[in-house]
Amino acid sequence: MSAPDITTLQLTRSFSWLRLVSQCVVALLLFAAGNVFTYETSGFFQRERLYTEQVSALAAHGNVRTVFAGDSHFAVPLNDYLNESPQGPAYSIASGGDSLRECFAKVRQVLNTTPGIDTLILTADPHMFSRGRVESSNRSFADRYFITAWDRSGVQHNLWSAMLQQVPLFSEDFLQYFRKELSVMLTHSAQHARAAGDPLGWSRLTDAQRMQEAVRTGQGDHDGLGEVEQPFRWYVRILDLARARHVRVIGVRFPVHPGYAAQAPVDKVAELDSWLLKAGVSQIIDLRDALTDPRDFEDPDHVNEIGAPLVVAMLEQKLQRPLRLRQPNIIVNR
Amino acid sequence: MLFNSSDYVLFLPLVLLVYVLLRRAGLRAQNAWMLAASYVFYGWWDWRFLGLLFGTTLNDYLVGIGLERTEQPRHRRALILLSIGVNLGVLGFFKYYNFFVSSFIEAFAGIGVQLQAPTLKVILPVGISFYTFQALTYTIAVYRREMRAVRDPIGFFAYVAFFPQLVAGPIERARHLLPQFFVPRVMEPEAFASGLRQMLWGFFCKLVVADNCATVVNAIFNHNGALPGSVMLLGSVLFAFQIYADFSGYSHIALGTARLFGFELMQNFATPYFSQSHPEFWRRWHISLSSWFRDYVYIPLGGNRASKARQAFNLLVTFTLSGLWHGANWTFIVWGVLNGLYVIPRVFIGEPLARPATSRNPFVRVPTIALRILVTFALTVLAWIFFRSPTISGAWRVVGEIASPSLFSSPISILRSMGLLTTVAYAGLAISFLLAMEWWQRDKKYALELGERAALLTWPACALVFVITLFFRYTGASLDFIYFQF
Repeated sequence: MSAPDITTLQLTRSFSWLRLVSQCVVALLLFAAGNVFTYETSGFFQRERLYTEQVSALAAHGNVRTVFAGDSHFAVPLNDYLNESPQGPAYSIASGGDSLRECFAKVRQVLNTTPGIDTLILTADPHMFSRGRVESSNRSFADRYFITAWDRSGVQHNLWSAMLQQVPLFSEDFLQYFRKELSVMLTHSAQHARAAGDPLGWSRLTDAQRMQEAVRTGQGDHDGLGEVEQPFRWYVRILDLARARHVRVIGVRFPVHPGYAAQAPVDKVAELDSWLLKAGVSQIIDLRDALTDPRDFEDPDHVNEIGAPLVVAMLEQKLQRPLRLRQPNIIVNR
Repeated sequence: MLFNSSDYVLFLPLVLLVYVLLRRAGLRAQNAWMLAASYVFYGWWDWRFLGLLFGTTLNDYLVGIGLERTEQPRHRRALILLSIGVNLGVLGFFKYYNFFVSSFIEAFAGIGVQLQAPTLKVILPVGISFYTFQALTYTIAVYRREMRAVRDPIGFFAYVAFFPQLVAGPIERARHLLPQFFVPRVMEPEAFASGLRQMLWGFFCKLVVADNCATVVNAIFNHNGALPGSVMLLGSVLFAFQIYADFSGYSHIALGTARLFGFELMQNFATPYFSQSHPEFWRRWHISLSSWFRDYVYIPLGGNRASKARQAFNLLVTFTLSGLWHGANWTFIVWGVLNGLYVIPRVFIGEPLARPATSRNPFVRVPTIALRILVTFALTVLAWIFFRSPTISGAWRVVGEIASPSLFSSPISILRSMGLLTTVAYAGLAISFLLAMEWWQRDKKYALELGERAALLTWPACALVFVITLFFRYTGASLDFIYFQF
């Protein structure tokens, strides 16, 4: 005679509300634990923490009068260089991948919390007005600023949906990051950034190689330049914010490789400049061809840590105001 | 409101909470709350069509009372014709007006006569095909004296607008669902847990299987320029799973949601892709619609009580109308006719390979069953190509590519160049999981119906489905349920 199936007999019956509720509570606790674990261990949320800390850290910089907002073209050379000193007169809230929507969210946050700011240096890069910058990889990072401002204009569906997206395991951006990481792990095809940590990696390429990469990157970045409406709307909203607080807005373009800059048609850039000035930008500083030495670049469109002091010095001259505690004298030395 | 929207995450618990609190206030209060919630649910999409829903429901409610009050056959016939006329008239206008006008003009243009007729910008109200058919089951049942007319308007209006199945079914029979509005609903913990599990399975079907497949299918079918047969075949097979997971997913969420409120809806899908023949397929696919057409079209036409030729004719008419129900496009009609043609041979020759399929010898039985399933699936996919393509010529192009030597070329490089390779892998894994679960649970109403299995198995199975849904769900712009458009 075989023994009765105790598991089946005893564990499947006598289902009560108490049992159901307790099971749901356990499931919720497990889900919460999963969220905490994901938030603490995932690289995506580490990036998110850095992103928001960069904005909130401005409060500790009491002397800041000038703020930079833009994408990686600003962030790569400026974030370390300007933000290290708590006494510095300028601060960068730029972040790689930001679109003008994210710029708006962060600018509103810092203008509301830091009354001493009188100048906003805002990206005027043509690629910020192209099709590729309608959706940002930092979308959900900036959502929290829209939620706290109770502003549904910047969120994808509605505020409730944006709030749900803040739950780590519900976040679609996290999910995309997770899948990408999984795919890299499974295929063992991690793309190694060229000479990561080596500021001279770009300069070691031949002229032809640099030109080829610059053209390719420029083409991708400037696809659909001026054809989408959203970036223009966000720019106007940033200008409105600044105007309401009597903050001057200066549009700036940082140095890039000529092959990259050439992918933004001259007539379209002129059209953009005219629009920017009409919309309320007080000055446009175009430094795209200001640096030509490959040693000053990380890649075709990012100035590296060697070029950063040069660019900041140029800006200080143009703006007639200090952006660092000690005036660098690098341009004179070169 | 979509089941897979953040709004629904807030809507459902709120409606359920108030519903439970209203238990002491009585059945009418609960029905009134259900009616209000259903109208909010429907109005979330476009409040202007609430008037249409209200108007057709009022008409059927009054017709029901009228049918009960009069014994005169002539009056009764007039009343039922009024109900059928209003329901099908509304459906016909919103769904088919432009189709028939343009088809009429094209037909005359074909013989050289140029006609001018107005076409209107008519928006198709979501769910109109479903709730008009469901309302008709009530008036027809009262007309046939299969049930008494309902006097309580709140209960009746709540029945027509019942939000879990309002916009995409199952198309309930009045005799099954309506009485549930007039008896106290018993909310049992086991049924509640079962409802949650069925909803979870529905979300897996929709978010993981259907939406991942949709990304690939849309890219392939909307591609400008020719793609090899292997890619088109892949797109067609994935569409078969997309539409199945999309629609059955919706039905599972609807059934699960209804069960949370103490209602039991009819099963709409029963593992149709394991069918060994087309008649069997249609007993397992969109059961509420195919049984509706059986009860209200096929049988009144004479069903299978007539000669074989007449049976074949009845089948062809029923399937053609079923195709037309899906949409105002010739592609749907061809899809319906094709399915009719698949079924008709059985009238004359019976079930092919029926004997070896029931053989005691597993070496005979298993390959036969596998072959029958494969052939049924292949024919189903062929019909789906017409269903998915925007035009008949487009469908023929797809069929032509699949029938060409390019069927044997590798699709991998093209999928990679289209950026679809990873999504195809996810979709493939999701389909495998779906089929494995459905095969394991093929005698159950849904794959997570685990009440009779060991509790130690229930938890891991549900947790696994939940985790897969969380991590492998489609991300991007929200995709509507396919059957919303019908």
